[in-house]
Amino acid sequence: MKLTEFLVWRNRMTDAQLIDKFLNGHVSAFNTLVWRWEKSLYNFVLRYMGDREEAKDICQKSFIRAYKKLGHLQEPEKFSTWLYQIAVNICRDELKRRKRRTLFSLDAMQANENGVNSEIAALKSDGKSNPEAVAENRNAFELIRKALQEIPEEQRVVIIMKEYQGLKFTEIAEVLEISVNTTKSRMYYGLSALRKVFNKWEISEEMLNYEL
Amino acid sequence: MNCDISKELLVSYFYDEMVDEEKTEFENHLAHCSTCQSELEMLGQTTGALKVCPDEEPHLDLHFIQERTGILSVFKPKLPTAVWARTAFGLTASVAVVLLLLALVNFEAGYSNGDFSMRVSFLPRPDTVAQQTENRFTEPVSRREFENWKMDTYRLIENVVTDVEFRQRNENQATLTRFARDVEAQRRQDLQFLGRGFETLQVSSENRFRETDAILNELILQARSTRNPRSKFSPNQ
Repeated sequence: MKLTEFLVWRNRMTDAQLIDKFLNGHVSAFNTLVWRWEKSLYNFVLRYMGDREEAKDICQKSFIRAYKKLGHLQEPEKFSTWLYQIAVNICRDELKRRKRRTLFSLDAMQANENGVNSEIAALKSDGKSNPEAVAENRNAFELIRKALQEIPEEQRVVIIMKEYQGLKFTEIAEVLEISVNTTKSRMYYGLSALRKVFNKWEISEEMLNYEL
Repeated sequence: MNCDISKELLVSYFYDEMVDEEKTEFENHLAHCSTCQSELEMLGQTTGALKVCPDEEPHLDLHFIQERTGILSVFKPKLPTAVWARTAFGLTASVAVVLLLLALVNFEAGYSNGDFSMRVSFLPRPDTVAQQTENRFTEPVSRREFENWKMDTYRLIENVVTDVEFRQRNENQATLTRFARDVEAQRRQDLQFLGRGFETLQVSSENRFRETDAILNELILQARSTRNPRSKFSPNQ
């Protein structure tokens, strides 16, 4: 079997099958799981934490923790739920640590504020006359990412899982170990809070779309 | 206008996660509820803005590799789980460590004449062993042991004496035989010698006798001749 054929064959296997293979001594099966989930996990963590390096670091930690504890996973078919749970736990620990740090660092908050203002300014100015902004085309993304950081963590995580990961409310509830109704209400209040942030920064959907 | 529709229902409808009956009911309500309509619009705008943020490619550089499964992995120790087995394992391990330490105590390293030498052993050096065996005799010995040793020694000496005796006898016999042979040879030689001597003696004495005989005969003839005319030695004269 050629390598590509092998990879395709591997890719057709379900998470549970891959986990079974891994637990029977085929470490490479875990790599397939990593390839399958790294992109969604990375983007989830990136939006949750708002920092690329941190997201990368947390993803690596999550996969390593999953690798070590895969034998303890009760329902292999719920691998992704479990993986998200691991990532959320690591993110929350990291946020606590960050909170402790920023309590003593007003400069960092100030810097963040300045960063947001400059991006709003760049966005409001004619995008096409600003070659850097056009080239990077990143202002809008950065702004959304920063806006997400403005709302409470427990609402943010629900919004990201729903909007970007496309999970159902029941699945989100399972990952976060909360009720479905709590999930829905956090979704609603999260989106309301986000809207307020957008209004505060005077960002409209049209402006963002124009930028794109 | 106040609306008693819960936020949860609104969200469920927005994301189309409602059972059909609920959905119809909600749609009926929505048709004449401006609050819910504006709420849904708000949700649409906000989530629309979120769509601007696309996925990025992760560069995790994360790759898990197969652990080496060589010959050594066969001997890879599997720690026992039972408490008693763990205790036993721990004890064995500590004994092994103690033995290893003993070996290290007997470790010697030296350097002389440009050569490095090293010695690792559970046992001390041979010279120290000799010293120890000497000391063994100073230890108290039981009567029976002593007797046994004595008997052993006697038997050993006896064996040695017998052996030496036997060897000596054999040697003596061989020497005597050789001596006898030599004497016999000598005797024969002597006898030959004597025989030859007697023969020459006989021959020489015979010759003497003949000579004497001849001289005497001549004397007799001379004497006869002189007695007739005038005998010089005549007893009558």
